[in-house]
Amino acid sequence: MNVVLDGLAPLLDLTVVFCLLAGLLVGTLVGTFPGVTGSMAVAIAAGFTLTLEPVQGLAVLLTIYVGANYGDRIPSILVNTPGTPAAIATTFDGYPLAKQGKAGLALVASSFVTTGGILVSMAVFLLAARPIAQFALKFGPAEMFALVVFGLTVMISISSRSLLKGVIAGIVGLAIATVGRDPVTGDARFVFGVNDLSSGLPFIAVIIGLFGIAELFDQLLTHHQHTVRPISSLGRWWPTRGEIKQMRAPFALGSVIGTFVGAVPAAGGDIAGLIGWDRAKRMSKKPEEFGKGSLEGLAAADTSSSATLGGSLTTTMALGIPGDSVMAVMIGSMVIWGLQPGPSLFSNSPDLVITIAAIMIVATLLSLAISLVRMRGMVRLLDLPVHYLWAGILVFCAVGTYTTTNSMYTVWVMLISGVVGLVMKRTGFPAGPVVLGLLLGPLAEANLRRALLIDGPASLVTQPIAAVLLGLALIGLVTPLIAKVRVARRRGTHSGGARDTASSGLGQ
Amino acid sequence: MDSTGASRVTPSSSDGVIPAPTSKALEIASALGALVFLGALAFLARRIELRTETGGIDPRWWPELLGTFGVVVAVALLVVSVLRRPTPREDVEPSTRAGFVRVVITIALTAAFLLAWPFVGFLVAAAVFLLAVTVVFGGRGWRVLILFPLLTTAFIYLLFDTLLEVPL
Amino acid sequence: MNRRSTHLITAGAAVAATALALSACSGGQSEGGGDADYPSDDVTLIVQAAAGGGSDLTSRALSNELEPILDTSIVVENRPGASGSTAMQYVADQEPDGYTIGFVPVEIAMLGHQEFDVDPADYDFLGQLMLAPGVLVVPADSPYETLDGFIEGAKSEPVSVANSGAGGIWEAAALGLADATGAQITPVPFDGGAPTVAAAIGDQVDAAVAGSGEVSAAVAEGQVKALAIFHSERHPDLPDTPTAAEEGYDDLEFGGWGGIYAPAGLPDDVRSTLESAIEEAATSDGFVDTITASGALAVYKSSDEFADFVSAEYDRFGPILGNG
Repeated sequence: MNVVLDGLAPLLDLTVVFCLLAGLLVGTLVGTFPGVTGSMAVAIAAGFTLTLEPVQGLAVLLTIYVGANYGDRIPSILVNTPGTPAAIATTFDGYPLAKQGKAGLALVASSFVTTGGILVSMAVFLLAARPIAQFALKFGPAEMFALVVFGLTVMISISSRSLLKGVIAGIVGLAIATVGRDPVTGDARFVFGVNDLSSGLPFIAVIIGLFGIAELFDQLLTHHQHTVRPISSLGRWWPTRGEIKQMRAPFALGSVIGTFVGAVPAAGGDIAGLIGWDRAKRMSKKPEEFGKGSLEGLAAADTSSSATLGGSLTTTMALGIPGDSVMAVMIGSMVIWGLQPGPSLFSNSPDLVITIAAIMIVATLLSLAISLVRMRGMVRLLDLPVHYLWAGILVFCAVGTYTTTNSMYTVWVMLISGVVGLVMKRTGFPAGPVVLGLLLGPLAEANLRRALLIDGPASLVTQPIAAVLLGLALIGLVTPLIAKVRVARRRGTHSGGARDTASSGLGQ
Repeated sequence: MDSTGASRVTPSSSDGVIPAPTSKALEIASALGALVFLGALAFLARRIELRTETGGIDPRWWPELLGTFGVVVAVALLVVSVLRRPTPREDVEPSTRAGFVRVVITIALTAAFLLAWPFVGFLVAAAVFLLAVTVVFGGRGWRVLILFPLLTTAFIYLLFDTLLEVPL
Repeated sequence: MNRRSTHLITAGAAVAATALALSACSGGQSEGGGDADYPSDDVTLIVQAAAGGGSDLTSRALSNELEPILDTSIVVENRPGASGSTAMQYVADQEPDGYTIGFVPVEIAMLGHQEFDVDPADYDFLGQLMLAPGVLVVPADSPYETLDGFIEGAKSEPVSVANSGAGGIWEAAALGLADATGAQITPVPFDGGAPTVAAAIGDQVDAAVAGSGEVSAAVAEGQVKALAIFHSERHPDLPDTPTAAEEGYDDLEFGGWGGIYAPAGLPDDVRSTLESAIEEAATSDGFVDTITASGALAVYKSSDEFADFVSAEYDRFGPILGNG
């Protein structure tokens, strides 16, 4: 009990409270700003916090981490632009909900499941940090490869309209991910002598282009004076009892997936959100609503990407290995303060562990309160005349993208991705699989080749975790195909057209 | 974009969402586009230069695999697009001629903004860019055209350059 | 400017004041080369890595000390990408007026051998700041206890050695170790220092080479065993880890070092102002404490020594990286 009190005492300090609030403000602001990620904000803030006391510094950095995780949902839902990569899966159902005039509902639901996800994962952090972290340590290249292949099967779920086009989009994503230096030998691939290309296409610029800018261009293309955009006709804010019940299962699923994926080093909220969304869709009674404004989909995506926070923290504090890019910066700062995350942190300074957990939990609850309060104002932004909205989005995306590298090249990539995204949208190629390929492709290839370098091909089947994940991926790949073919065959016999049977399973 | 399509529906004044017209030509064109891209991938992947040839799973292996598989899928898509009715496009609205012009101008203005930024500095480039796109998007009046660009530019500058010390 | 001023007046005094103040601060970045009153403006320090890494930390710690000495603002600007060559080429292209300087990592001596357009001759080197010696670690339950045992073992059976990335300093160190001893080493590049150490902790590889700062905590916790440090003397954070020379392998020294450079051709007075300011900052207690806490060594070399060192490193890496 004393340890708990010792851990909580620093939070009563007024300067710490001030640091908490400052961190939250910065976090939500940068999270909302497309392109500026939590890790970038934490990295910049780390430059200022080095001179503070450790607890004050931790208060700033951890609350930015939490705050950004709330802020990034807002542009995802309202304008289809993920504020950070962790909110990619939020766009799948969040934006369709907003288009149906349920922006308020989507924002409220998202805030609550985000809060729940973080709190569940923080409970895991407090109760089971060591066993979880030991499990995460088993994820070597072979296991990572299997996890990533498992993630790639999500492609099937997000290309519901036309499987062929979805797969092509996925291959395009995987292909553009190979631009740059080979991860193992360092040979240049598809660089064509352009130096900027040798580190590959900047991921954040591509997602902002494909989602946000492409959507904006599409509105420019189709908008005419008489159509009323329904987003800001708010409707209700609070979910009904039935809707809450509906979100329960995806919430539970998302918490588990998020905590585990978060604990695996180098896998973060972006991957977790996608996997959580996909698993929930496969479990749902109404999978056909996913991607068209399903509260279940939104709940699954947001819970699992948020639950990675506690998972990452677990690996970071219990092993000293960063669970994601924000935590890498955190470790750097903690070491300068003379605090060394690692196995002995829990035994030597349990009060610090409590303090960290308390900061996270307080930050989470404050973020929820803030997001509920300012939500109305946020949605009001959409009531602005379109010329403000469009111009604002354009310039904000350009600046946010620029700040990731301080190089115009990155902004050009965003603009070109926007044009490509528009063409894809008009021709029916989904953007989701491209982003999935771009995100997971390098991980898949690099980890496969690492695994082969270390142990040869056997490692993929002899390592139990890798084998199980690959098996699940295979099942995930095959069952929807069988289902589609079966549906197609049934349809084919009804209409009696042999040609239909052959192609409808893949064409639609 | 839709110029490949055979039909173009003029926007009606009703506020219901009308799906964009389907178009066989568009489907075939997009399948051909995918085939060209993935064919180029398969072709270029074979020509990646390596410093040391190791054979087996080398830097060429993964792009080649993607390119080859991609070409197969793209051919399947081409066959489907020729043989079958085009996919419904209920998720996109029809484009308008005015909209097409607006997109092209916006892309051109954004490109001009990105070109000018390194030379005239962010403050001038962003303020002028915001003024120009606001005009294109239909904003009128001094408040809209002067105050909005200046305030937005100042806000972004203060947030990044001054508060976060990220130079713009 | 004129047209904008007119607008500002109409727009209201408050906005005008803000915007004018802003444009005043942003103006005139590049004016005044070779001026006697250098520095009369902000100095931009280009970092080749993203915010949050070791290079960024060193740069920000230095700029904190440098600001009062030079009596100007130092703007740290991250230009990550293309193994650091983006930033290096950017620095080479700037006016040599002292208003653009940069953090220069060990890669400057390596990229030229790897088909990047980077040549140390394009820069004026102003001083070395730090050095993180490489350390060879093995998993806690590895059969190897000494460097000698490891190398003998690796002569009979190939071993996998993790490093932080293809073409990076720690891959070169593993290759250099193999070259010098005849051990059969398969370098396995990971994506950064932390995953490399994690692979060793998790027993996924036979060994790993990483910087002293990246491994010292894991060594102290007993998660990995450190067999040798590739440096001329032992490291204060790793007192029990012998140097490679102590273990009988001379001349095996590999380190991730960093310093400050500028585009070649600085005016003499600007150059000497910067050199003495960097010396003062790099040897200040605040900077040394930060670098030491991060697990690296605060090593200062004057600009002439540093320039010689860079060119010696450049020559040394040629054969290791298979270029001459």
